[in-house]
Amino acid sequence: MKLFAFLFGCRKISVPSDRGADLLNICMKYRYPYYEMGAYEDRTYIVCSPVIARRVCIKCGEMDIEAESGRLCGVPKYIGRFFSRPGLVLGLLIAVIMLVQVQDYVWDIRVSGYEGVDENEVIDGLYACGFYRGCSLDGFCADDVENLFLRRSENIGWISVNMKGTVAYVEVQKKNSPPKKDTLLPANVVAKRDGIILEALTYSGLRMVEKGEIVREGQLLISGAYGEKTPGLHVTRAAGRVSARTFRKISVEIPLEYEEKVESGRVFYEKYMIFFGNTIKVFSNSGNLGSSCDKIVEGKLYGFLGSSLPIGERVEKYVEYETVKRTRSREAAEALAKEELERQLSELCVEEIVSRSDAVDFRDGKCVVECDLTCIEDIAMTLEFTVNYEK
Amino acid sequence: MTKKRSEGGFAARISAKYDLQPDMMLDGCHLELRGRSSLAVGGCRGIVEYSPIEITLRLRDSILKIAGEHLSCDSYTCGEVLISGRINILGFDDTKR
Repeated sequence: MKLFAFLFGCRKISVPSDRGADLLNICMKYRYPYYEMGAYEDRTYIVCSPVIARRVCIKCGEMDIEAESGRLCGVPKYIGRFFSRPGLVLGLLIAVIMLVQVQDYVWDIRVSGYEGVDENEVIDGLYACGFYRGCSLDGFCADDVENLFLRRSENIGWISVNMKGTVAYVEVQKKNSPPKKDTLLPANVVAKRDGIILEALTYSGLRMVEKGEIVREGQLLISGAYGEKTPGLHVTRAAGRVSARTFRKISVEIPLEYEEKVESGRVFYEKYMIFFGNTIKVFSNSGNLGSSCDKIVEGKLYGFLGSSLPIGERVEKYVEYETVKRTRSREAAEALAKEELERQLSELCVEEIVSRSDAVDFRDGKCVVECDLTCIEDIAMTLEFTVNYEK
Repeated sequence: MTKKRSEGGFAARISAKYDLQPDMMLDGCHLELRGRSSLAVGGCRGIVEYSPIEITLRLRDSILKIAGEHLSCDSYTCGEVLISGRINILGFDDTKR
């Protein structure tokens, strides 16, 4: 098929072989151009434009020539097929509108120069300022966004938002905070728990306890105020390290009867489409949702060539469960209790565990593991105070 | 008139005198054969018969028969016929149909 015929469409007109000459004479007489001609079996045909084909058919009818018109070929055929599908036409229309409209929205935010600053933190900060993937650029002012961001951010010292097309290029620099100065408020050092003093090291202030002394929680260990009231009281921020032997008791209880969630097998979904920052519900079968459900939310933005698009999906999954009462064996309960005890011990902030004794007991339907510990730890705790000056 | 006709008339004399191509002055036909695959015929008055092995054209004062294989009429407008295919025989017949 010739290119011209393909682009503008063509139709095949065939007549019996013995009338082929008449067909050609019609073409010559009325100056009907055709793209191609040929013969097959017992018929002669020409290929011409749809308009010419219609005219040729009329002339053939006038001359008693049995002419058959073939199907439309070429681009008009595809256009005809396309327009016969309203969904495709609508889709194309929406795509064109989107192509025009999406230029007014932010498609992607790319953060750079954020050494030491989390990219997500920057994007979240911008979101709080009303600048996010999918937001409208109508009335957008980079200065306003930057100033608002800097006012709210604690870590970012400088930010620049540059729009290139629909992509926002954000450059940030971390705030170089001056070193934190020690507070000048006077303070005492007190005991944070009961214990027997093993060693007291004073950095500043006046030591109030001796080695071997028993102290109670809250007792003054190092005083920040010392001296006589006359001629003047010395006030300082007491500091030091007071190592003491302490006694702790940790108790872990594991019930023998417990409630367990058992999935009923019913799962409900709510699907949303994220479209330029808007969330649109597209599907839901959670109308008869029960009260006992675990909710699992998954969301993602689609990507294209390594960039995130402001289009994505969010799925909320509701897994229905029933609460079933179960009983665990004593051995299982004890093992669980010991496991929990070890976990708590690993989180203890002590210098050393000197001794430990465990006791397992079953009472009130529970497995109780009690652990008595003797530890060595720093019990110093700074407690600030204020000084009232007498006029 | 008889003398004129025998000599070809005024147009024929002018054509002979000034060495003009006959088809220009005499409304004659013009054939252009390129190898054996393409034949252009000017001054065609109509197609008498058409088949892939034989095409018969009516000229002003004669009949032109083209025999061959896979013959087709690629274009046919304003008395100009372009025939393609494998041309084996070209023949003129003075019998008017």
